[in-house]
Amino acid sequence: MKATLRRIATFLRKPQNIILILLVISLAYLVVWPLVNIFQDTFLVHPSEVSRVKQEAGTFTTYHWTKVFASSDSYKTFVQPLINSIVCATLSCTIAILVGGLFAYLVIRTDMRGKKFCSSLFMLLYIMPAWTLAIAWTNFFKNQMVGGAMGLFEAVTGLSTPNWFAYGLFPVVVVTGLHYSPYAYILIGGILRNMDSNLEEAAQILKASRGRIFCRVTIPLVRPAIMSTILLVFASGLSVFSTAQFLGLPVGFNTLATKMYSYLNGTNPGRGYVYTFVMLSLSMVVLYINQKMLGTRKSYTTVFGKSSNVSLTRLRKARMPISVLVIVFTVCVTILPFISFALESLTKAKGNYSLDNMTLLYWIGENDGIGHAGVLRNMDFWRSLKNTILLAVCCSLGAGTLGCLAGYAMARKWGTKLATVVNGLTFMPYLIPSIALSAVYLSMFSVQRGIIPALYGSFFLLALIGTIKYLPMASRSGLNSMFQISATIEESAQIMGVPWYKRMLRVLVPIQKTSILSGYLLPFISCMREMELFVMLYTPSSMLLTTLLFFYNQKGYDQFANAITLIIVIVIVTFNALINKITGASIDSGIGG
Amino acid sequence: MSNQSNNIVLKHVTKKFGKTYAVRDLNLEIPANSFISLLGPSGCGKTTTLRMIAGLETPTEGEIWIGDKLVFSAKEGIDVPASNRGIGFLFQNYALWPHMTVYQNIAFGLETLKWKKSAIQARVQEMCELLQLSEYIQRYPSELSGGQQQRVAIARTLATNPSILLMDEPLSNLDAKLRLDMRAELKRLHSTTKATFVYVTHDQMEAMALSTSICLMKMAVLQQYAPPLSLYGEPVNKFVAGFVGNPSINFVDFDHEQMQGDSVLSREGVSFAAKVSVNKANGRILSKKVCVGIRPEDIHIDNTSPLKGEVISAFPYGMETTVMIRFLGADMRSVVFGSVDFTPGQQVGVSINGSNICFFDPETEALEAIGSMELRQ
Amino acid sequence: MKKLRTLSLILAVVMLLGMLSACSGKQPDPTVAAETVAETEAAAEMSYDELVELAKKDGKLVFYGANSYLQDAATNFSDEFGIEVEFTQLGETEMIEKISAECKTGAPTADLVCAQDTYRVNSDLISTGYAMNWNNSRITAITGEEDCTAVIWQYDTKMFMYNPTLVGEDWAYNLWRITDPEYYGLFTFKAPTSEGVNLDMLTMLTSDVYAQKLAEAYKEYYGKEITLTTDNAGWEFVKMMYENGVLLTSSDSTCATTIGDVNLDKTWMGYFSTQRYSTQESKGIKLAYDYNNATPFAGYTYPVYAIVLNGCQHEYAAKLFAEWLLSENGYKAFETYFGGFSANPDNGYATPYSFDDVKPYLIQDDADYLMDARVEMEDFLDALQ
Repeated sequence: MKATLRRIATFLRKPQNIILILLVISLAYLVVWPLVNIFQDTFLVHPSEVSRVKQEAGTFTTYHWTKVFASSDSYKTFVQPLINSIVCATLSCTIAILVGGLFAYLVIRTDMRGKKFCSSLFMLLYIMPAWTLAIAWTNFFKNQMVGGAMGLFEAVTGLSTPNWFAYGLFPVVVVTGLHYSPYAYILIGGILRNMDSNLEEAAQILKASRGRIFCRVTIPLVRPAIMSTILLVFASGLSVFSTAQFLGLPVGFNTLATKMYSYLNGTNPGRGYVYTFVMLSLSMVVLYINQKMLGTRKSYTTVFGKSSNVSLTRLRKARMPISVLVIVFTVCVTILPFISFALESLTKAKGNYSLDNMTLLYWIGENDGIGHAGVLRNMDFWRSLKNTILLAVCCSLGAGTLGCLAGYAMARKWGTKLATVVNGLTFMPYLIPSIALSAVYLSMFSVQRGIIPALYGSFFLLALIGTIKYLPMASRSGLNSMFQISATIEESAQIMGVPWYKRMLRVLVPIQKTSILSGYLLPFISCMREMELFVMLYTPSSMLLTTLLFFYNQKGYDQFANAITLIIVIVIVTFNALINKITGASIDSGIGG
Repeated sequence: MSNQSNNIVLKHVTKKFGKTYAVRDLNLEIPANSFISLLGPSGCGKTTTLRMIAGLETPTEGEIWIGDKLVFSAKEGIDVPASNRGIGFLFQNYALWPHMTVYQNIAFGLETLKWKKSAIQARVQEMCELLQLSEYIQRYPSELSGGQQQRVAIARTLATNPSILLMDEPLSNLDAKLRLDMRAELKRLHSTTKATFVYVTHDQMEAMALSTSICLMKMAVLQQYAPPLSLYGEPVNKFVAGFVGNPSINFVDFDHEQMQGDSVLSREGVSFAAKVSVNKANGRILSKKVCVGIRPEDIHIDNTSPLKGEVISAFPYGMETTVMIRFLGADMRSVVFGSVDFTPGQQVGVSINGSNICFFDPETEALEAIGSMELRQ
Repeated sequence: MKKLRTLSLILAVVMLLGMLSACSGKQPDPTVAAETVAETEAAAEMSYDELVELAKKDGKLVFYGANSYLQDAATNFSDEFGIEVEFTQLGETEMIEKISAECKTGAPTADLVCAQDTYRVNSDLISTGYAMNWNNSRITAITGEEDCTAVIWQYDTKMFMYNPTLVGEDWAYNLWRITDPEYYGLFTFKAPTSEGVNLDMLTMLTSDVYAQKLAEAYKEYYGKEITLTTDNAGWEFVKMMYENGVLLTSSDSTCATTIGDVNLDKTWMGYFSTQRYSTQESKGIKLAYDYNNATPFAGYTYPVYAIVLNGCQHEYAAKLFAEWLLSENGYKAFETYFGGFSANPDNGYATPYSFDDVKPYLIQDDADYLMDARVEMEDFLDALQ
């Protein structure tokens, strides 16, 4: 007995153990319990379902499961959206990896011109919320087949875009794929940059052709990066909601996520939870396949050589054309959206881009005719801006700090069961679709439970869910940065009797300052542009820029919506640049590690 | 296997990275079937030279010939890709593909050459037997030890029978014992394959032991290209003398004056008569001061000698003992054969004899003459 | 050792937290609700002046609504009574969700909500007990309702409009044109999944009265009796409409700009808020409707409710606001709101016609029928998309 106690005491003397245990407990409540809740919710009658299920609220029912899997509408309401979701996620992955991978290859391994310009612009794709790209897409490629005024593209070229190009699967896939391609760029680029070029040279000397080297050596070597990109993009692609909503609605294109949203927001939330459950299971399957395929025998530790001189492939004659092509492409997907937001926010009548149709009314006007002041004179806007920044700061502090601590504790206890559990738990929120997570938090925290008061309506709830949702990013970056510090560095301070917090603050954090700061930056930026996570949880007093935008979109106040979009993107880019300038932290090092 | 087209000629080869020179105006002729070492401290340009021969690095200027084929010429814009130069390359870190098994690694080059499957199998088996890898054939590189990985890398390189084998410090990642074994292995391979070996190393012992000729470089510039023993015996300058040999050569500055046709060197009140062999170097000492390079084996402990010194420290290695002796106001290394021990502080008699004493101009550091020196009574 | 004790304490607290929160949530206490009812019944006898007095004591009013004109009404109310008003404009569906969540906590931030989705008001706010059941004879005298749980203060309208560029302002259309393959993809309205009143309207089409009218109109348009694959002509109409390339949008404004572009080479139709008719000039679009030229109906009218919430902080201010909205001053902000009519017939309106003029040409909502059939319509549409 005494020995056991002593053993526990010894165990708890190590701060990393305490951190891990606290994380397991809190994440069990904040991540696992919601999942249990979701599952439970698929079997319950919710208040708004009483008239449909014809049972009292809160009682057990299999109605939702039957409805989803075994009703006459199952094909149209479940199978079709499921296929759409899988196709969408798969194609988005492919595009992200092709575009991001090619981009990484060109920037890192060739003598293309304008690399710096391209790679920093390219990051904008990730910084910009995906749905802003969707809005830009409609601004550009809207056609008259769906009525209304023509888009910029048609206005300029006179060519009408075909329907499949303007709406539905194609644009959803392209937009999602492009949005996540910087992910692929960072992950694959990280390996390409650090990969020992001898590995390719060895093949070259053995007379392998360029194509063969690429297929047999380069691609297999970047496979781990490709696999993790697939996992990240697939999970995100599955839960794409706003993009699918903007671009899919006009042609009745539905995915699991849009269906889930309409059920959760409609009168059949139970059915929505079944969809959540299905989406979650799909992500899990991908995660599992991913782990299986990576295997353990082919260790990639040898990939990283010490020779840092990566020999650049000479593009020779193709150098100019390829450089121009890449630069034009990058500008098209990043700068043009800005121009379209600006233009659309200035036009009075849609589709007319002549100067006499331009107005600053929606920026600085007093009243747009139905009682809205221009964005810059609008109190709602300023309040939302303040809330957004405050929330982003809170989430980044929360997730960043937790992630850093989790990273530290996991790195020190790597390989132990506890660390593995925590590693899994911290990654879980990534796989839970934002909308589903917020739906569960809404039901979990809207009433007092035990000593936890009803949190709905409080700013704290938004900060809490943001912290949890961005924990995967932060803890991965924390883990990466802590892995790079050898334990001996801390141990040397430990031997001198330096207490733990001091070791953290004076030794570990300063060494990995930029890397850790990047762990803070990523949640910050993601939070700034997050909509799906907050749209159900915000209240008028905690209105955010993105939810304001959502509202403007819902109301069809397009000029306001475009103005807000422009502002959101500018604010994010400014903050990113500022933080990067001051601290040297950058998102790419945050994701790539 | 070997043929007449496996000699290599470098003409005025220069490589610049930005504004710094990695290799500067290098002229080098590597005869067929030789074993050449590119030797020098790190950053001297030896690896760059090797990579330029391989075609992995593009020279800024110059020409490279392999056999009678011009493979690179800056002037004529010729740059034959690495894959067409008919060379094998052994990387310092082996560059084994982690996603392929030993078999796949070795077979890769043969597959590229479109060999028949059965022929590939036979060749891989043969290579594995040669390098004692047969039991690891289905393993992944991460499951092998450093020495085994090294052997796989060699097998992979040799499988395609290259007539020229370029090696970039292939032994530097191995432990001392293994390194000695592999040296023997390489020498054996050289004699069986009859290929031209070009070998990069910073370890002068390795270069001395292995090569037919050594090309010693310093800061992008070729210092001396000669067989190991002439490099040792007749270094062209102080750097070469100091780089080659272990324990390294002793440098001592002397005042020099001509007395009745004799060169007299004096230091700390002791004078020596220098006798230079006329057929070596310039054959004359011209400068007012001279830097004398004395190999440790030319400093003898000889208690009959009037010249006295004090033992500072001694390093007994069993077969020989390196002794640090302070005399003529300088600390000098001497080698004594056999298991002899010395106590620090011990007074000993010292003599300098040997016919390979080098005389350098302390200003230009170039070799002025080689000869012997005798204590003047 | 001390360190250890603190730690185990923390651990215990965290675990306790987890266990407690695992227990079921706290439900609203029925006895509290009963008390409020009793209280409010007493207040029903309250005179207007007394109500104003108590409202002023409250000093503040927080309310949500979907209509931007409510902002002006809020300002007017504030000016008249010196009561601070905090108004937030939200989308209808979102608003119901938020109000439900707030009420679930037992202490809603909002005091009052102006909602229009009859079904959701009944199912989410009234039957859950979130809406306060109170009485005020002055209000019921005007509205004709039994009590003030959901005060109808306005009737809003949505119309089937069209682009007059090609067909002129007095185009006589039959609604079945929407289902005619010849005009495939030329009809748009806001997705009923995000607009409850649109779902209500579609549901009403399936009620006996309107289905009958649709059946007659079908005969008139196609010259033959309708062949049913569904229960009645209403369901059939919705099905055919969806199969004929209906364009679902995310807002009424988008619908208006979608059909109203002057360069369109086909005549588009849309169903959206009548108010958009009045803003066509500022948007550079052309819209028209002619309510007595439409077969079988020109649009839909639905009540807008003012609902005081149980457990709110400024109950009297909320009650006063609900009553005041029906008064001349209270409705002033809406006199320029095109297509809306005060529940108090004495108040002004922006259209050239009165509510009584247009009402016979409109579909009207019926809470009982909606409660019965809307869920069915929701699932029906779900399978059509």
